[in-house]
Amino acid sequence: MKAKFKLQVSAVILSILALTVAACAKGTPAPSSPAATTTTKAATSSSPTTAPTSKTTPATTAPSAKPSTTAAQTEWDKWKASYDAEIAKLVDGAKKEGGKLTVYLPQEDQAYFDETVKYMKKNYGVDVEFVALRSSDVQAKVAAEQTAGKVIGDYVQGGSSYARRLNEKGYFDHYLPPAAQEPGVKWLVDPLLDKNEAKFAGKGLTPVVAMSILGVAVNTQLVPAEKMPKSYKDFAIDPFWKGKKIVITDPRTDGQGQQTLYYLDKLFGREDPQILQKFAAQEPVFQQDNTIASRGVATGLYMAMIGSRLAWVQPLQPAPIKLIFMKEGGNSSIALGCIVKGTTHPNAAKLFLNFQLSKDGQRLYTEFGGRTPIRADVKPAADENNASKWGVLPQRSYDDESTVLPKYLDIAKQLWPIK
Amino acid sequence: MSQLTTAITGIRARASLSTGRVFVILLLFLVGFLVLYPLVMLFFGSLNEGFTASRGNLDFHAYIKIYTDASTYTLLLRTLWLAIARTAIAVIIAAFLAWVITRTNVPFAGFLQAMIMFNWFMPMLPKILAWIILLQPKVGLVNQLLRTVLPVTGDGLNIYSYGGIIFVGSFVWIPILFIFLVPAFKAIDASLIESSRSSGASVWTTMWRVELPLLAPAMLAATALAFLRMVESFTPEALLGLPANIYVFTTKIYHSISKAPTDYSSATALAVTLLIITTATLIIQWKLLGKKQFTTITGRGFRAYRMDLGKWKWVVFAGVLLFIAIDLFVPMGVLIWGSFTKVAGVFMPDMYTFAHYKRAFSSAILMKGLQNTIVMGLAMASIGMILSSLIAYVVVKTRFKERRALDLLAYIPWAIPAMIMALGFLWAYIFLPLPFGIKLYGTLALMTMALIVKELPLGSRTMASTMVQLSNELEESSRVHGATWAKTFRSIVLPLLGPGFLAGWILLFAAAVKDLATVIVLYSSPSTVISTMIFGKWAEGQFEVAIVLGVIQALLIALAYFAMNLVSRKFTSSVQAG
Repeated sequence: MKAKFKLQVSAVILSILALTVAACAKGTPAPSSPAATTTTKAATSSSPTTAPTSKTTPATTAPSAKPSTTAAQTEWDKWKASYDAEIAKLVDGAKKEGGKLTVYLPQEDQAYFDETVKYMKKNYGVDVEFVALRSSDVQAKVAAEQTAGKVIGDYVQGGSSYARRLNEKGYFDHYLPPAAQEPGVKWLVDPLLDKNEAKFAGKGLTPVVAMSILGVAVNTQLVPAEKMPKSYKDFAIDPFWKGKKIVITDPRTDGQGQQTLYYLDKLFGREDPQILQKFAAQEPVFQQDNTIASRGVATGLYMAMIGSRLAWVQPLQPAPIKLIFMKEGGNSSIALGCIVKGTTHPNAAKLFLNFQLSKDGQRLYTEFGGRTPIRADVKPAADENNASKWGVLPQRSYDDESTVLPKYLDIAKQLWPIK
Repeated sequence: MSQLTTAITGIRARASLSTGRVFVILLLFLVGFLVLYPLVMLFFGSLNEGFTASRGNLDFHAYIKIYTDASTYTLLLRTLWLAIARTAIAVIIAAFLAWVITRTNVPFAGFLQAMIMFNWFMPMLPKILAWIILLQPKVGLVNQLLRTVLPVTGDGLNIYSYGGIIFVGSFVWIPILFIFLVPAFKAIDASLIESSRSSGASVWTTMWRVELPLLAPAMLAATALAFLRMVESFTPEALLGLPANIYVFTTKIYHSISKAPTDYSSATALAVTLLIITTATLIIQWKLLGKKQFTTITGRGFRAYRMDLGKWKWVVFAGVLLFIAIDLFVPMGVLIWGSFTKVAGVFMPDMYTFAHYKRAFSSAILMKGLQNTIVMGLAMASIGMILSSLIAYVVVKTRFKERRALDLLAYIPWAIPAMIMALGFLWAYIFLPLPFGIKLYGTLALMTMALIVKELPLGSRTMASTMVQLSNELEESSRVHGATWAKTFRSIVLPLLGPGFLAGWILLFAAAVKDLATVIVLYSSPSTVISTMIFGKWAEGQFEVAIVLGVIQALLIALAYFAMNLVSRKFTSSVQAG
């Protein structure tokens, strides 16, 4: 009897193992090297003389206004013709693919989703489906879909820290969007920031498509005017801030808390090697959740939250909370637009990438998504999103993000040991 | 002639036994596949960086690193004592509430029961925020109130503390334990109590010497269930513990999966510890129960018994009402009040608004989310309870050798933290080779299936706690009269277990509707549900809109609860008529 029982249990386990092995055998081949070279060439060498043929591409989708000088005008006209041809080709291709696109991204304002869906349908005939996820879920889903060869998410808009790592794994396609090359446009962040990154050679191109600038949320009732912080350094050296008055996200894990340490050290570490120890001595409080941390400032539990953005402060108005920026500038949180390798909707994905970098795309983002436009020709919808006015701290290279930034996790664990 | 009868009975018994055995083996295969396949994929994923490493590159370094790190054991000890403390509080209060409502003549018992159950319908995240609004140091509403009447200095009451974690962490689980215990309390036959009383035992002696021993299996199961949920608990610890630098095991797991790149290996290596704890808990439960009999529903007829509390009944009523006020009315009131203010918990001039309701109801995906939630909830609860009933029946009512394995399998989905188990589901079903071009990944069907598996412990424990008190003589009598095993199950067992089944159904429905950890990994845009919408609003910082959606979610479950109550009443009256 006992032997029979063991036999049955063994059979169950063996069956599951066999299924697992079958599943893994199907899924484990590493993703092949990028096959987008031809696509890229085709995309970038589209004849500028080809007139746009699609009726679904109205003139309003023009990425920008025409420049004024004649030479610039000629260059822009040439680019525009090429751009229109590319868009027409992509619209045609997207239609043949079924006119659908699934986008994995972090949560954005629903109004942004709604407006973008309308825009993409009206102008390009593409139905966009947004799937809002946590960053860990985006990573897990993209990796699993790539390994299994079942791509559902055609396009990923991801935070630079993990989107770049997924790109290094070879999960994204290379496509140089013409919208990123528009003549005469001044970019507040170079959309092709990672174009020459050695680790991405032969891999995908992940242009910067969105930005938020993060400042400091302060409680305007509790912080007197003369104590309003001017520099990040104030939080480390001014005794006013001592004693559980500052809230940050836990610096012992990825996020704004970790970046606060990184920038404190980068900006002031040379002149004051003890800057991080001094900051720790101020007894900042950690919170897991940005929503709760922001509310802690609004209700007066904390006086300031380092690493806050307009989207978290705006819903709390008219409570006594305000987003301010330090003289060193705001911390820019960038999002990358990534076309997923193996997508069955590559044309729709390229259209979406171009849209995100276009003037209309950036306008929708700032008006409905509360983001900071990365194009200087798009007016920010709120003063707190004006990167030109507040300035931004230096962008982190991929090397900084993948090798330097993680060291601050260890520093944080030494400063605030987990007991 | 008598020899012939004996022989025929023997043949019938053997035939029936073999049919039953085949069924049990098939059930073991099905549950084994549903539970172990995601787990095995999780294990493989932990060895190759979440299926992102090169083929064949299996690596155990994370396991070695985790288990040679002293902090792992420090966190484990803290997690265990916190779990034990909260389990004790939650089980004692839940058992007291169940006893008062089912075994005494406390006034308005039906209302009290409905209120306690309704509490379980509220989503956890907004509820914790309500407690933060009330009990955060210095500026919490309770502290502000206390300051007006008492000379409170300093922080006052502080929810960001061990006390806060224990209070919120135990109170959020009391309603489900209560729901879990009620059928067992209801099932005690009046004749047993009356025999005890007529033999001279006092009310309290009868309670301690007769009722409590009869409730031992249900109490033990509730304790085990509560303990495992407390060990696996994450949200209260993360939101309330971190500001006080209180770390637990699941916080460490969260850190592993929330960083870039995600450290699946460490997260899963840590989760293995919880799997061991679950197995150990279950073995202890088996040993404690041993071969004791706890049957109370027998073939001799059944009468419910309610103790007369006399003049104390209003005191007890006030006590229960106080609990409901603390656990439901106050936080719910704060949330509803907050949903009509510009910023919940912040007093300001001209603070009232309908904007959050307008915003929630103007969402284009609200109807779609509601529809998906209802379909998923109905399917999950119905299929889940059928499967759970079959498992519980085999575990409790048969002596097949396979029942222990089945019992353990049905517990495993709660042994792994939900955030890790969700990865197991993702990897399991994305890699599963399916015939005929069937697509499961990203569909509502897959989300339903994953939730059925995830909540198997809840469904099967609820049914087991009811079945354990059902006397075998009823089935034996049916079998002696020639009914098949299936016929006995359908005609005798199911009608007697109806109330327990319906209670379990509503629990599963609520669990499906409220779940976020599993569905967020598996959903796609067409399969949006209310909980992913609540998450979205929360992540946007629109907490008040999230509250409105949370209230809609709770009302949906309440509606299902009342519908199920109606069904339950009709069912009971039809059984009685039959």
